[in-house]
Amino acid sequence: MTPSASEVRSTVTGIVARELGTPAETITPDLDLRTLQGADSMKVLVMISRIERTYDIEIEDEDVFSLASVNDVVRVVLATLAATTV
Amino acid sequence: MPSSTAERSHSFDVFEHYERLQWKVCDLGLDTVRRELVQPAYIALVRGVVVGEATSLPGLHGFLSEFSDDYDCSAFVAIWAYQELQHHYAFRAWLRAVGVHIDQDRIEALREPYEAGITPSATLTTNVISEIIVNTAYRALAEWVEEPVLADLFLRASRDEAGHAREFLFYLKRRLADHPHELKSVLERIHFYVTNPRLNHPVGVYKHQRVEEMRDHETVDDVIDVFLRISPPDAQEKLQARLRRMLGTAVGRDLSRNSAIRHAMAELSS
Repeated sequence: MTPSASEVRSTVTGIVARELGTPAETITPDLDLRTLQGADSMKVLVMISRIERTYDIEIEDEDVFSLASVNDVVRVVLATLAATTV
Repeated sequence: MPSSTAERSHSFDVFEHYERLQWKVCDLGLDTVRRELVQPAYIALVRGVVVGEATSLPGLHGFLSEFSDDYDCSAFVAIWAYQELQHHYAFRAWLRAVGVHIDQDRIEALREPYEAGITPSATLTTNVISEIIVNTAYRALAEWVEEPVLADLFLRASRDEAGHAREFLFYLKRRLADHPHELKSVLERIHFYVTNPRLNHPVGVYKHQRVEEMRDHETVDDVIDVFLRISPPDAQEKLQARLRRMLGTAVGRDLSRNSAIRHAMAELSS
């Protein structure tokens, strides 16, 4: 069953918080993650990998480089899930 | 008395090997350049090559600082820098032979050393990528240009770059064996260069795009553009596949898919 947007948002926020060592409640859906302390390119790629593994998906390269906020990630995850279940 | 570290002196082997293969600018026969075969596009192309090869000096400076704990690698880099400077002067000499001169102020503007990489292994990775890209591009350009002296020069430089890629790979493998914690930074660099929709050359990313004096001058990015324009449509894909294969072998990981690179990074972060 495809998860809801709020479920994906909660999961993604948790992954981001764990990876950056930041409290989840400080990560708002539209916050530009690249501005967070410690969010270097290596951590961003690791976060994306964890999200891919969680949902068993592969995010397209052009999306990998354009993801800025949790909401961006949620949108891409849901779109990728929808594409793979068609 | 035998040295206990003799087997670690890879640069000694490289030095002897390079001495056997070393060519000179006077071997090129610059007085036989066929000026009637020189197209305007060649001039712009070679101007980009000249400023690209000029960045070996700031590269050498950065390397010697970053590898101050590794005499052998530093010695190789000194040999490498000589050959790269030779390319700079050889292509510049070809330009002079056809009546074109390079503004030395542009070259001087490139002097500042490169910033240190995320890790020394990441720096070696960047250099492997750089050498493989120019090796591939120069080989294609050697076939494309009709002026024989320039074609010969591209071919000679291409062969040198292939040797440099091989040696940087050697030092990368050795560095990772001693510093396995640097692998994640290597994977990050590989990911950047093999997934980017544009074929980026490290000299463009770290030098030419950052130096104001290069704004209105041909750069390595123009050289890459010519390479892609004259090559089959799958040239970039093939080149990136070659990078994946060569670097995948060096790091002992499957890099055939971008998600595999990310997953390898995530495993190392666990």
